[in-house]
Amino acid sequence: MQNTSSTTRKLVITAVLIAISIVLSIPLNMGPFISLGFIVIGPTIAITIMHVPAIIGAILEGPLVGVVVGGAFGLFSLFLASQQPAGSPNAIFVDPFISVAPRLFIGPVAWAVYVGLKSLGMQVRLISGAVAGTLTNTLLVIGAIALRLNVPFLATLASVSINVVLEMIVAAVIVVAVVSALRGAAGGRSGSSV
Amino acid sequence: MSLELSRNILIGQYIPGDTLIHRLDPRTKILCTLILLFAVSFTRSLLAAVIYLVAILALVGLSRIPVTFVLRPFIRGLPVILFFLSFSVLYLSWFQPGGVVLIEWGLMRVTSDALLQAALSLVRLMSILLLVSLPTLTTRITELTHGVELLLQPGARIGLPAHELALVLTIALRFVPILTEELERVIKAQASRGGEIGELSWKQPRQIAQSLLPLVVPLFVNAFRRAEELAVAMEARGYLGGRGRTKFIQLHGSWIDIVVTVAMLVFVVSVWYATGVWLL
Repeated sequence: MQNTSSTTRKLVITAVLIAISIVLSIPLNMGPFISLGFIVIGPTIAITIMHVPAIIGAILEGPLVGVVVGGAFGLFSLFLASQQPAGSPNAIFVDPFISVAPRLFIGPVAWAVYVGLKSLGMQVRLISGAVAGTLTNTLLVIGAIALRLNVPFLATLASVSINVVLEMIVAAVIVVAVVSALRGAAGGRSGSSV
Repeated sequence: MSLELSRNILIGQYIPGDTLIHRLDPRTKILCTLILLFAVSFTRSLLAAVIYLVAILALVGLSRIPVTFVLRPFIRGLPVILFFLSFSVLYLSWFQPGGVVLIEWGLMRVTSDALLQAALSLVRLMSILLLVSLPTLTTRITELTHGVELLLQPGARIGLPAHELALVLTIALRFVPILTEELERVIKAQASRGGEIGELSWKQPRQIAQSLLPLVVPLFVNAFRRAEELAVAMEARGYLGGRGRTKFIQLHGSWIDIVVTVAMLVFVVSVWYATGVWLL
């Protein structure tokens, strides 16, 4: 069952990861969870895990899946930003150079780090991949904002430093848990594998 | 705290019917949705946005889908939307003052321009929500796929994977309600075991992380399991990709479809023009 690494499989998994991105952004209104993908943990701190599907897709199915899922996430955030009042802070994401382009690289970078560290243990590779993917998202988005709006890169980065650290931790934990659960499920009870 | 998530999301659900909207060619519906989507997203006039909203509500009425049903997610999300909008009103009033200052109290300031902007995004949000759910509510998902694929067909000549994109889009849309239901089940399962998801405050980051994991991990794992099964099922039925694939459903547009698309374009452009002349 694990060996059917065909185009069909890649297509279906890409689709399902995009569906997960949509589900992660359903409004929940449950305490700190604005949605599952967007969590308020402080008066001015909110973290996101919207980039995690791209990382998981890239690690499990290769960089191309990561590019498509990341691109879908980018288009989604562009679409959400276009609904914001003009001039509000989130409205800068209507620029595809800020919202879409950086997100295309989340998957490939995570995949490259994961594959590059072949000699290390699985946990370390997964954690590094997740951290690299999260950093790619943050650094490239802030870099794009700095380029387009002429704001200092380091000052903007400093203002989100707590978010970045928390997002890296959360992303790493989710990636490790999901990937090892999937690997475990495939190896353990095999069900009706042909 | 409400656990009926599937009521909050309509994307991917289909309500059978035999109205004019249901009978239109899926390509027409996709094109008209895109035209309206662009118009609503890029208009800067509140008047134009309201006119578009009325038109969209008329379309919902024509398709005989209860407006309350379609608007439920919007009404549910209203507290959060208003919360964020009030923030952007304060932000806009402070950093981009314009118009008349209505309230000034210490560091708080509210200007008429900021309120207009907020009203515009509220109307916009409502329109977009109706717009994105209408095509899937009135069209079978297979028809929608064929429509998307045929519309992307011209791009296939320059190497755009039209068939694959259409397939991914359809499966993603189809999976949204399934995964939403699954998430709902997981949340209920956690709650019945004493998981306190809704009662946490942001002062408990560790507890938040602890309650997040049991929700997200099953969501991913179940989704992958379903994806695996679907891929095997597709290959077992001889799916080999788009090359040389023939279609069981043939779409036949009629003159009505051309009339509707042209009418939609004319409507959007004329509203744009008219409200641009009388700038609001």
